Parts: sequence; C-alpha cells; structure tokens
Amino acid sequence: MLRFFVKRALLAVLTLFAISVTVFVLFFMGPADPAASMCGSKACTMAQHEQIVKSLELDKSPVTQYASYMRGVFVGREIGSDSLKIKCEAPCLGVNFRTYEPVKDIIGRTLPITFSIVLGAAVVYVLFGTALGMISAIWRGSIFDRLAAGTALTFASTQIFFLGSLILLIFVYKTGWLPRPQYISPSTDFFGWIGGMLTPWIALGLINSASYSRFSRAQMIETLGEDYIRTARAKGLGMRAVYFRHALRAAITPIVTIAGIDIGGQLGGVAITETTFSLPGMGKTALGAVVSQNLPIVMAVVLFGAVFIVLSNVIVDMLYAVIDPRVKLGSSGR
Amino acid sequence: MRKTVKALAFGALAVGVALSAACTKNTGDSGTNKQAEAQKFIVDYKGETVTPAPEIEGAKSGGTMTVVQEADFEHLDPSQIYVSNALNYSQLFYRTLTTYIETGKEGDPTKLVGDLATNAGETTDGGKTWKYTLRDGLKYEDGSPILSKDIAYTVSRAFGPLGAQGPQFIQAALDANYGKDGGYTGPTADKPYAPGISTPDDKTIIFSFATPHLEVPYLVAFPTTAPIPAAKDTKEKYEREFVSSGPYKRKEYVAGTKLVLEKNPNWDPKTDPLRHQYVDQWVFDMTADPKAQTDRLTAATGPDAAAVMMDNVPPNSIPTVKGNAELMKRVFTGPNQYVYYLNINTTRVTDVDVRRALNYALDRDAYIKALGGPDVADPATTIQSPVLPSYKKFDVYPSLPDGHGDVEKAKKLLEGKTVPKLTFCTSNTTANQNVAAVLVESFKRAGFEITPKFIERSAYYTTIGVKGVDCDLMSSAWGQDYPDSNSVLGVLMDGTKIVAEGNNNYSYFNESTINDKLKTLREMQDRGAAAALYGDLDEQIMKDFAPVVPLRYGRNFTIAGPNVGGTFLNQYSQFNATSSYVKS
Repeated sequence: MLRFFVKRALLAVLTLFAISVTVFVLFFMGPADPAASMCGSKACTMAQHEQIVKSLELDKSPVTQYASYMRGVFVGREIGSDSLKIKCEAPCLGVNFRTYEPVKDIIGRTLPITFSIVLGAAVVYVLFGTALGMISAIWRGSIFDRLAAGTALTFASTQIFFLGSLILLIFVYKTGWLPRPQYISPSTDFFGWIGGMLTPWIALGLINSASYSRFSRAQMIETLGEDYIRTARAKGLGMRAVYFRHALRAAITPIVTIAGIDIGGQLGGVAITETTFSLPGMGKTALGAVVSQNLPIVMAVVLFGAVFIVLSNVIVDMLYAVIDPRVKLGSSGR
Repeated sequence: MRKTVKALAFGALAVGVALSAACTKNTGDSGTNKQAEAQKFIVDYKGETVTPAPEIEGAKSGGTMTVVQEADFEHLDPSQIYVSNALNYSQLFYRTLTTYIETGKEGDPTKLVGDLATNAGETTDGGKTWKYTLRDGLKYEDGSPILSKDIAYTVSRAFGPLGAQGPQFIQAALDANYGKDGGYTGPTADKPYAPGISTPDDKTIIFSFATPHLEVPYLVAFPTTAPIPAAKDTKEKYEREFVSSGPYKRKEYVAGTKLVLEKNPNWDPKTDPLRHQYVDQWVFDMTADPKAQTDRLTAATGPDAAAVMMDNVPPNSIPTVKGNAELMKRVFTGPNQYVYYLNINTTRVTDVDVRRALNYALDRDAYIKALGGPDVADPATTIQSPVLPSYKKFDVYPSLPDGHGDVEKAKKLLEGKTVPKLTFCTSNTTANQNVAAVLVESFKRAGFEITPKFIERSAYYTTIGVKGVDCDLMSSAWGQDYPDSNSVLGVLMDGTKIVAEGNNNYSYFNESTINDKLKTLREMQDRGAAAALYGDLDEQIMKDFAPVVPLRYGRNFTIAGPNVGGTFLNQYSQFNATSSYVKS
C-alpha cells in the first residue's frame, strides 16, 4: 500500500512539473503581451506599458519567472517593483495581473462553486444513470428498456449549453418552478445552496447519466450471465440479493472508474456549464483569464485540474480494493 | 464579452456659457431609433449649482436595486478606474473634485460642476494654475473629514504602479518627465506630492502646470481625484477595501461574484449637487453574461424587477426582444460614444483620390448588416461621434440611396491610376473576420484588391501603433476620454503627436495646416467656440484629405426592470445610478 502511494505521489509531482513547464513555455512562446491587455484596447503609452511590465515582473526571463513562481509556491515571495511590493505568502500562486488579488483567494472562492456543481451532478448521474441501466438490464427487451435507451441516447447527444438554456428558459424564466442558478454557501444556507445548484445538477446529471445507464446496463447483463449468479439463483437466493449484493457489486467497478475520471476531469473546470448557468466557478474564471492573458490564474487552474485528475485516479484505485476484494493495491499479481 | 475599451462618453462642452452643441441623450424611448439631438452644455466655474441635488420627480425611498453584469469591475481602485461601467457606478461611493450632472430630459444641458469642490475650478492665468476649494462638511464613511491633502495624496499615488492602468492625463500634464527617468513615481516621505500640487490649507488644493491646461476641470472629474485617506490606503487591496466618500459604502464584496452597497450615514446630501440616496441597497451581481442578463431582465421576476443590465442585449437576442411589445417599453436605446473607423495609412496610400475612392466604395449597408443590423450600429460619415459637443453632421462621400456606396464615383476617381493592392489589418475576432469579408467584397467592386491580415487581439493596438507598420488599412474604434474634441481630433488627427510607438493616429496623418489648426483650437480658452470650430475641421479633414473611412457609430440596446425609476442612459452609456430609485 505504502509503495503504491509513494509511486503515485512521485508520478503526480512529475506530472504537475511537466504541466507547469508546458503552460509557461506555451505562454511565452505565444504572441502574448499581458501588459498590453492590462492597458486596454487603446494604444498604451510606453510609460504605462513599462510600469505594468515591471509591476508584473514580465521584464524578467521566463526561466527566472518560473523559478520565482515555484519558489512562491513553497516558501512565498514578494511580487512587483520597488514602488509596489506585494507580499504573497506560501503557497503563493501569484497575483491576478489586473487587480493584484492573490490567485489562491480566487481559487478559494471559485473552487467551492465548481465542487458543488461537479459533485452534485455526479450524484445525479451516477445514481440515476446506474439505476436506469440496472432496471433496463433486468427488464431487458421490454418497452422500458427501449424507452430508457432512447432517452439516454437523446440526452447523450445533447449539449449542456442547449439543455441548460432550455431548462433555464422553461423552468426558471417562464414558469418560475425552479430557482435561479446561483451559488450560496451550504454553510450559510444549505437549502439555498441546493436550490441554486438544482438546474446545473439536473442538466449536467441528465447529459452524463446517459453513458452511465448504457454502461451499467451492459455490465449488468454481462454479470447476470456469469456462472456464480446462476449458482446464487440456483441456491434459492432472493432476486433482490442477487441483483444488489452480487450483480451490481461486480458491475459497479468499471462504473466507479469512469465516474472517478469524469469527476476528476470536471473538477478542473466545467467552463461551459458554469457559463450557461452564470456560476463563477474555476472554469469560467479560467476562460476569462485565458482571454486576458492572466497567466497566474491560468496556471493555477491548469495545475488544480491536473491535481484533481491525479487524485481521482488514486481514489479510484483505492475504491477498487474496497468494492472488489479481488483487487489488491500494489500486489505483484496485478 | 462586453467591451472594456478605455474611453468615456461625455455630453457636450462649453465654457462659462450655455452653448448650442450636439449631444446624445438616451431616454428609453421604447426602442425608437432616434439620431442624436442637439443639447447644451455648461461648465459651472462660478459655483452656482445648488446643493442638495433637486429631488427626482416621483422618487421613492427604499428597496434594493440590482445591477446584473458579466464579470467584476475591471478596477474599483480610484487611481485605476478608466472603464465606463466603473466610472458610472463608482459615483455611488466615490466623489471627485468635479462631476457631470445630467437629467436625462431632452433639452436639459449637461453640466460640469464642482463635486467635492465648490465649483468647476478657478484659473487666473489662462489655465496654468487651477485652484479648488472643498465644500464644508465633507466626510468619509467613518465620519472623519475629507481634506485637501487626501486628494493631493490620491492624485500623487496615481503616478505609481497603482495608477498605471488608469487615466494618465493629469500625470502627464503635471510632470513633463512622467514615465521617464527622473519622473515622479508616487508619494514618498520626502516627496509626498507630485510636482505642481500644493495644499495651502485643509480645504484648498492647487494644481500648477508649466503650460496652460484648459481641460483640467474635465481631468479632475476622473476618479483620480476621489480622496483616499493615506492611513487607510491598503495599496493593492484597496480595489476591494475602498473607503467611501459618497452616499453608499461597501457592505459585502466577494470579488468576481457580488458587491453589496449600503447607505453611508456620514454622507451629507447638503454637500452634494449630484447624488441621491433613495435606494437602501445596491447589489452588483457579477455572474450573468449578456444573454443571461437579457433573459433575467425579460423575466424580471423577484429582485430582478428592480434590476438593470450592465451590457447590451446580444445582437442575436434583439429580434426576440423586439417581438415583445411589453418588454420593449423597458428597452433603452441610443448611440454611444464609440466611432469605428477604417484608418487609411497616409504614409502608404499617399494619393488622396484613392482614399476618397475607398470612402465612396464602402458598402455600409452590408457592413452594418454583418454586425447585426441597425439596432447595434448606425452608419458613420464623420470622425467625431454624435455624442460629442463639437459633432457636425455631414457626409462628403454620400452613398447612392440604397446605402451600398457609390461605386461609379469611386471608379471615376481611380481612372488612369494604378489601383494599389492593399493590406487590411484587423484584430483576430470572429466579428472582425465577418466584417473583413464584407469589406474585401465591398472594395473589390471599385477594383481594389484587399488582403486581410488578422493580428492577435491583445497585441493589435500595440502593433498598429508602431510608426511604419506595414498595414495600408487598419480598423480601430475611438471614444472620447473627456468632452472636448481635443480628445478626438486632437488625438487622432494631430501629426505632431506621432511617435515611434504607441500611436493613436493610426492613419499616420500629418498635415501641417491641420496641425496648426488643432494647435489653435487646443489653446482657445473659450472651449465652446472651439467646439463649433472642431466640427468644421472634421469636415475639412474628411473632404480635403480623407485619412479614414468612418464606418459606424456604436449603439446601446439594453433593458431595465419594471420597478426601476429615475434612470436613463447617461454619458457613460450606462443606466444613471445617482438618480435611480425603486418604484415599489
């Protein structure tokens, strides 16, 4: 187990290092002039441009800037020129080029929003999708099965900006049946948080549940055909116990894998969902940062996204061991 | 995303006396597409403006007003504010030495008056020295007095990095070395104030310049003069921790998400000629893109009944809005401050007849349609915007009645000439790619061969601002920074200001007779008389030199909730905040 974690941790560090270098290289290889962006659309005076360049430390070489960034992450640093020194404590992810707001504050306020969207929607699509797939498998060939397959296909081929806008138009703006999407911290108003998140959860949940229902259906059908299921039935075990205790448990392992990777990927930013529902999460913030060439924000979001993917993979591996006793972490037999 | 072009819209201009000048007023005329109408402008040098501000007819107290916007304000630090949305709404919590009063009623003049100061400024030496005296009873939100040294500190602070993204006019006027070695870079123990600033007492601040600066009353209307108490200057954090001098103060600020303002009990209406405090609370919801803003304001349910949208309705949504007669009663339209040009590089396209032919050949009708139609733009024929006091309506290269230009006249001008192949530079956006295709086809009719060159968006203005740039035609937009054509023709058409980099004169137009006229106009003390002459000069430049092809005037098309009262689209192309109230 320990060896497994050490290996994973080393791999994670290497991955993050490679990604951080890539982002820096891409940024400086491109035709970027963040100082010009900060100056606005009119031609900037040279003095103004120079002052912004210095305050953002863009006059230093990319290598120096990268070293400085990494030093900030671990021990903190001071950013800016002599006339404006901004103290950025570790873990310093830099400051917003435009407003000098610490990037970790930006991540701190956008991350809970992205988390709320992704995890809530995951509950919807994993539970709903798996349940739908399971029932379809049990009633294979029935009208329900066909209806479920058709519905799944419809949602799977729908885009979030279309379904989301449709839900907003009908259920929020026209009828008022659902509350307007907004983020309210669950610690201040738990039901307000649920209300504000309902629409993105439904939209993202429905679209993603399609693949889960199809996948779980196939897995269930395959598992239900296994010898040990037949044996369990032959021994007189009740159908409920057969489906839930044996068939579902075996079928769910690959579903957990996909869910883990999906959630990890989505935590890096569900920009389109956030934009559709006007929720200022990490993805929407990153999009704005890319347009305005706000490197520290882009860097932080990319790194966080990578961390989530790496972490989700580790968690999935661990869950394997819990769900399926045949799997042993780090064993040479795998 | 909404444009955050660093330019302001202002009304008209005159000095001392009311003048007849052109200015735009957006009156929420239920979607009618009226052109700008004439309006007067007054500068109150004598301090005759009354305080408190006259009550708004039908105004009620109480309620919460919501402003729905796409993202956070670019800046709320007074030294950095330069974008029109922040210029507008920061008036709720910042006061400046001077300010503008608009009523939104047609025929009423726009006034430039003393805000913290008793008048728009006093000068006895033709504009080299300007004296401002503060009103009695001015306080910050904590009840401490606002002193002249605070304003001196704020203006001086803008010379440093915390002012680098804001307006630069007063810095450049006060310090000839600003931005160069030896220039002032912000308050220090031995140099607390920028050169030329003095505060003989707690209520007086004096600005002294090496040369006359008649535009100072306008420059000190920028938040650059909104007082910051030095002891409470949290530097880079001041963006989010600002101290109020206006009728509202910060209650809650979640950057990028929400700003809530509540009443400032230490603001005294008897000291303020502009602002009201009708609304209990202002909520700035920074999460809705223009489409979502339109949807919310269309539904206008719950708190959105007393909401305004900060951006314009996206062109794709305009037909839906126009199809809803009830909704159209809440739509506010009108021209805005921006004029869009096709600059002709006069150092490369040296034949004026070729430049004239380009003006004749433009198919404005197709161009406007490519942008979204007449609801988002009006065809332009002048360099100055209709919202500028010195605007003069003329069209020296008239199109045929169908709006598609006059190709025959263009061809005639080109007779016997080798029509040059031209490179058209524009920033790389989807809209510009559509527009480029239309322009290429448009000019092709007269025999021009145009090759578009798309330049990365953020580097665009820096690239075309380099003298010697290899573009023949360049697209650009301009809105005046303050209500004087010195901020339009004086910037765009003055050849003496052409430098190696960072130019705004993208036509690189350098004509000594025009330069001389611009100098004469700039030095005229009677700015009202100057305004009238700028209109004639605009026409002369277009007729004799044609350095640009004016493309379009921008338009506003935006929505307010049914419970919003007392507002109108003001000089910032925003809903006027200082007069707004919640109806019920």
